[in-house]
Amino acid sequence: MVNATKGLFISCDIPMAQFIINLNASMPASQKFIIHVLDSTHFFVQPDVAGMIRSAISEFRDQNSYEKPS
Amino acid sequence: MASAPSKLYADDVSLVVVLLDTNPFFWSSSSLSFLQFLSHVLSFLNSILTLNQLNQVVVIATGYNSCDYIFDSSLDLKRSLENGRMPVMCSSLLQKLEEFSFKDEQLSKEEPEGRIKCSLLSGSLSMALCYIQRVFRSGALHPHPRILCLQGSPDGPEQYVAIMNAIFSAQRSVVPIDSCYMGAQNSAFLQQASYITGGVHHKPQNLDGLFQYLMTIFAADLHSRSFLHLPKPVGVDFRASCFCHKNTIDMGYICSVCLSIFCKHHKKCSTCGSVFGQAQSEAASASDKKRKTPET
Amino acid sequence: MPQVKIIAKNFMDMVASLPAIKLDMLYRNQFICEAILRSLPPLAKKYVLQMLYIDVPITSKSLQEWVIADGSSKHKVAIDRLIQLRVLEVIDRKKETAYKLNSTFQTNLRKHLINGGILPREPMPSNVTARLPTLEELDAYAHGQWECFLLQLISSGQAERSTSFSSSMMRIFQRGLLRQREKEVPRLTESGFQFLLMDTNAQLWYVIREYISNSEEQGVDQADLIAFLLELSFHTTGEAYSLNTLTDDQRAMIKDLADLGLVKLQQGRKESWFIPTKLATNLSVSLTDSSLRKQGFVVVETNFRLYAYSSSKLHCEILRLFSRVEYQLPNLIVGAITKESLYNAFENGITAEQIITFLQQNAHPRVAEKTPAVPENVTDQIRLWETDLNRVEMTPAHCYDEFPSRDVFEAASDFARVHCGLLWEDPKKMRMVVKAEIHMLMREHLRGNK
Repeated sequence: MVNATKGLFISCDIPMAQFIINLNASMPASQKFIIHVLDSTHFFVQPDVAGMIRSAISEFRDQNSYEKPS
Repeated sequence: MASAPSKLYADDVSLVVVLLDTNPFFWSSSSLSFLQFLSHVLSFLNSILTLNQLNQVVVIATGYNSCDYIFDSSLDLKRSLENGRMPVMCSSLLQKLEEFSFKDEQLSKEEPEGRIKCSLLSGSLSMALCYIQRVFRSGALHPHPRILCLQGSPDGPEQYVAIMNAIFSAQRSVVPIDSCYMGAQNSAFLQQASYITGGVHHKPQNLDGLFQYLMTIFAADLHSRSFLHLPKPVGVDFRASCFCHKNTIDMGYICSVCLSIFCKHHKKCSTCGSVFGQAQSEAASASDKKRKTPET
Repeated sequence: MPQVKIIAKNFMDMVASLPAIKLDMLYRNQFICEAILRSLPPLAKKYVLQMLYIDVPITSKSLQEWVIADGSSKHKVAIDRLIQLRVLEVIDRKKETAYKLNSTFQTNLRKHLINGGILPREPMPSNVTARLPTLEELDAYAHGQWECFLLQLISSGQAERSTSFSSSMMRIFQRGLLRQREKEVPRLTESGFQFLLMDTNAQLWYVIREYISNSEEQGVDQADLIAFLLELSFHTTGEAYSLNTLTDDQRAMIKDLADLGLVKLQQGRKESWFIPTKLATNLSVSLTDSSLRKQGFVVVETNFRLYAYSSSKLHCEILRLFSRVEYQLPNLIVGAITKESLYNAFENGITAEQIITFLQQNAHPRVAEKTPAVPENVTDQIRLWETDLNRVEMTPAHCYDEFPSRDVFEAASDFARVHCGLLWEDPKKMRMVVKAEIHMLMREHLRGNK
């Protein structure tokens, strides 16, 4: 019998993929969200983590930028 | 050099320079009367101006001995809309045309006989190109220019060099030369001009329908032309004229430095001054004769 | 990014949506025929000219033969536009469709070409009109009015003086551009931001379109107003025309047009007249996509600094949308394009393309001659920053595995592909990911295969 799992399909570039894997690893066991790692640029994750991933990415992005104080 | 693309308006806006043949020798023997011809042309000019608010039209008359500007829509039409564009355009154009024909006729009082009755196409082509260059350098945005040649007189071989120079400079400035030939034979110059510069050449078969030919083939702006089926050149006559006697020749001598064409062997090139060696084809039999007779 | 576009061409769509009888009435006016002709795509213009003196219908196949194969999409766009505006009438013969020009349009355009059109009104003699403003004064007046209107449109507090539009009219213009929550200052919506970055003519057409759609509700005939506007664009800038030549509806409209800066109203001792400005006479130019480029004022340097030679409040507001304005001098606005300011703009719904187009179209004449007008490193970086926000793509989906056999797997994957829902498949592990929208269909398909 075919098994169907509901979730979220994520497509990104390789550095982002590594970031997501790292994020997943830093989560406590009950909150790990990656269901399958499909390949180096695609994932299948739990359905409700979209917002959390986006905010983690924008935090990461902000950490990488410097704005000269005006 | 060709202008930077950012200075051109969007695709549609055109500047059409019309070269009108007013050679009285041609019009006196043509099936279409000059007045009827003018009515076709005036409606055509009006339709060009209707197509886009920014379109411009310039008319240059090609006479027997001289050429002159007859009409410039950017100057003459500034305040004419209340009375209707056509009446103002017609009256100013016709008046200037009359003055021009009179002056042209005066100039032909002292003319040697036996000259082919051709019009001064090289002069009007040069004037058209000068006007277009001025528009290019005006600094503001400018329309896509093209030249439309309405010609009926035959080609004058003595104008070959000047016309070819004009054609090449049009090619360099990316200005297409369209031509509509209304005479009996074919015009090699006009065919070459349209072929080299990427314009359209057409010889209408029925002159009564000239307006429809003009609207169908020559009214299309440059951008749309790449999508339309237009008359293609069929067998362009590429024969040149020699530089020394202005005869049309098929085979001749060419200077290897400046590529000038001569029908007979000369000792020195008249254009660039380089000295030629002996002619090999005439071999030993003629060489003695050549050394005795001095070349002019 | 959500795709929200305000296209000024919608004015012609509004014309096209008029009922056939009204359109025919419009076409009786030679100037409207000319204005409509000018608004067509270039290929359509050529078709109209070519068919102008042909009385018999032309089959669509022969029309198609005029174009080479590459141009068939443009051909279709042109034909659709002509049919939409009812310039081309479709005659359905039994075997094939044929086209003919609308006879009213054809007759009037022919007359226009041969005789030239005459406007219904003449300029007033100069002995009656007092000192007429020069063209420069007129231009300054038009710009002042228009800017004042725009400032009032986007934030009522900023304008120096308010226009005479009633607040209900302003609200109608602001509909779609501004969003107001309770007790909050009205904020610009995405369309509002895009509106600000459009060029003047496009903005003008948008406002006029709203004005005309609104006038229909007040009982004024749309066709009349449209006809008057199109006719106005053929008048001469700077000449005075008496108000007596206008109908009552047109007179009411003239006052509103004066507020927008299209005309200037003046009064003499006995008569009053209106003077069309450049904004009015350029209306028919802007019916197509080409915009009349006025004097630009922005210089962008390769170090991301921005210098805008302008003293207009409107320009300052527009620049604040996507750059950090640092100093404002009497004739110069100095700013910088920063990552933060751009992210701000992107959050508000502006796209990188809009910003770049705005900078290019308003480039100062000194830099406009160079190619590129805006340095490539700046344009590339703006686009990169935009894509940086979209590094990850997420799609709600379902994952299917544990297929009993390869055949079932392949059948399911073909099924998903046909329904455009296949996101990922791995034939070795027999696992596939399908969009959530077709999950129900997939379930039915899989159950049906048992």
